[in-house]
Amino acid sequence: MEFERKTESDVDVILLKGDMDSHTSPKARDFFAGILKEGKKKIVVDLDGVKYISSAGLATLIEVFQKMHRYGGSLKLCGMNETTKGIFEIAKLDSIFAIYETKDKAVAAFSS
Amino acid sequence: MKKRRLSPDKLILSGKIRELDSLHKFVHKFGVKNTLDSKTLFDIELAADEAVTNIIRHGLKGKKGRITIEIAKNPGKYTVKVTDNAPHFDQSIPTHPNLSSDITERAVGGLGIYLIHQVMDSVSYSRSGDKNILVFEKKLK
Repeated sequence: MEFERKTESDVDVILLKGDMDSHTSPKARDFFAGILKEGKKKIVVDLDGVKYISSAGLATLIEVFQKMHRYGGSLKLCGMNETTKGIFEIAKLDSIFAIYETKDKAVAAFSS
Repeated sequence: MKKRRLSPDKLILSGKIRELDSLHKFVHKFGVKNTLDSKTLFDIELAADEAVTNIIRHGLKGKKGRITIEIAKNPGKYTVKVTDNAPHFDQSIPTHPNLSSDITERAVGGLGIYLIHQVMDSVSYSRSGDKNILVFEKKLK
């Protein structure tokens, strides 16, 4: 699993690449823990490079969402393919997470 | 003419979580060979991953073991059989995790078995000697 981080205005955009499963999720959790320590309040996670996600990957994103919620931050997701989106729907997470088609739409949503 | 059953593709793991990489490659190879559509491939990959992860985490609990995954294309369905030598562990009983719309109340884990049941058409479990045998099936579209 690889991570790419950039800032667009005051939004941190995280591009994830690779499978999100029980093997790779600890690495993802460590990565996000570092960002959350900085108290970042606006984060977009771009899943365009994630072709596969298991319950461990979902758990990682739920954890990030919950931690950010506690300090008043907001997480938005984007770039999901149809199968990945399907898993969010089965887990009834599609109505909880703010999900956008593209990264630009997700970033723009912070200023609307 | 009677349809011939082909031998299943087989992968043997020893119970290390990093072996999930081998599992993904194994399922993809099967998918390419049998020209599975992306949704069916994803569902089989997910169910196999969740089952094996549960065996490693909750069955073997860090100990070395033997997990055999067999995938076969049978008339009208794909069949995945996962056999392991961990203590009794039945994943065929559906779980009902809290899918509350309030994410602050959501448990972080506990979705694995739920997802297996959601993406597969049938899930069955049996215990034979010292082995757990989990079989799940996906109907051909």
